[in-house]
Amino acid sequence: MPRSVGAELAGRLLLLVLVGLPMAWSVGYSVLYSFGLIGRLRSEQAAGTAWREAFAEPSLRRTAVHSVSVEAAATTLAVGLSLSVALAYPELGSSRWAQAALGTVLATPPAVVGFLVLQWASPGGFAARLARHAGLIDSPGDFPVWVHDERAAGLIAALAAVSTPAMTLFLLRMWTAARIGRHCALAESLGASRFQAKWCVALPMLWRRVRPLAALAFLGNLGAFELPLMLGRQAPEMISVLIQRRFAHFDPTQRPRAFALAVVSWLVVALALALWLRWQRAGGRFHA
Amino acid sequence: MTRTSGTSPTDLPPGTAVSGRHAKRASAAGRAIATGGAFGAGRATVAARTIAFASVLLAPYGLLLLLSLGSGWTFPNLLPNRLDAGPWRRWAAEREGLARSVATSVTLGLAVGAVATTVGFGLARSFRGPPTGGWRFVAYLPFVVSPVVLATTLYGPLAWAGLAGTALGVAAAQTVVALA
Repeated sequence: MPRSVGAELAGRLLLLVLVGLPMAWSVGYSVLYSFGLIGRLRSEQAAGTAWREAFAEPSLRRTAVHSVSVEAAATTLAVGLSLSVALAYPELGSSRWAQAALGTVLATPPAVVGFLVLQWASPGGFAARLARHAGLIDSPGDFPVWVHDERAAGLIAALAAVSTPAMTLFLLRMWTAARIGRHCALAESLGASRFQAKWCVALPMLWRRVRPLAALAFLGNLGAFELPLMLGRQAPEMISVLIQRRFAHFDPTQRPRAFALAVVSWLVVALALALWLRWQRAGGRFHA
Repeated sequence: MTRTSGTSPTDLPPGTAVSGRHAKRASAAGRAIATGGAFGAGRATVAARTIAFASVLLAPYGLLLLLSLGSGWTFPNLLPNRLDAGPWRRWAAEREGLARSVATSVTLGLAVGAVATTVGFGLARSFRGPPTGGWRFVAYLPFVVSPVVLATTLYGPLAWAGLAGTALGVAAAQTVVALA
């Protein structure tokens, strides 16, 4: 049904008021606070001090690289797992029980996922106990470090566990909606092997559809807080944890620096979002 | 007539018989094209795969259930030291407070979900096609701002409106994110 111009204008206005305005407020407030123009410390610190301190933060570069690396690894793992499930078992899309199981994982709060990973994968966790009973280790200290570790293995697994169910449900739905099964069947009837049909027909169709979701999962997880706090290292820490630590610091002069870090984080993610949208508009290719 | 190897079914003249594994594959392909389903996945296969898949997904939660049955968990015990259902008894003793917390969470979740879905549906309907350019950027903005920063910066206006620390204030802040 065609929409009127008035309805579209009203929709845009509503989008601006409900989403754009709170976001603009959030960023504007952060910028003003970081420059010492608002807040309780506005007369006590010279303008720009917080920014100089934020950029002088010794671990800032390592924190940024660590955050992006962990999120990229988690998103890659989530995409790989969900694509594997959709390609190997597309019939699960018609099973209500499979969807209920995925929904259960999807509805699990990140804090509970973090707790589960700690109980399973920490040196004193269930996996270590199983290894002890299997005679593989003698003490918790012999078990590989999977949480609060340098490679962030537990954190990556937990972040992937949070993102995978939504992607898997989406891909299973896409398999039916885009009739990918029929395309594969047609390819097989024309002489392709089952593997070739899935690799050369189904995978590109699914990949094209899951890309936007993967990008959103990546951007959204950059702001994740509970899991990095529970499972991540203290140095370098994830950017969201660093910002929160500065916010909650007992020294109130740290707050402008926290807002400066928040603005830097916002700028980086906003730039990534703008580039991604431009890439999408260009049909998946960058144009000069 | 038997089909020669390497010939696709579409090359065959009408009425040509196809036999052997090619015939099996062709008939399975025909059925799959007609039904849009997966090859050879019968009801029993789907049920078995569903059970295996759900088991793998839900197995980690079994540890939570196991640990909730007792108190203490000394290494390398697989079971709690005392299977006294202590956590459940404590839960029963504090059920009023827990019930209130669960009720608050469920109410907030339902309210935010209902409002965000309704408003989001209305917004999507009002646009002729998916939003483009700057509008799309605005729609995705909640993904850009960290929830920690959003909560800290929205605290001021919510406190000014008398909503800080209230369920309505939390719902308002969550709705902004849920609308993305």
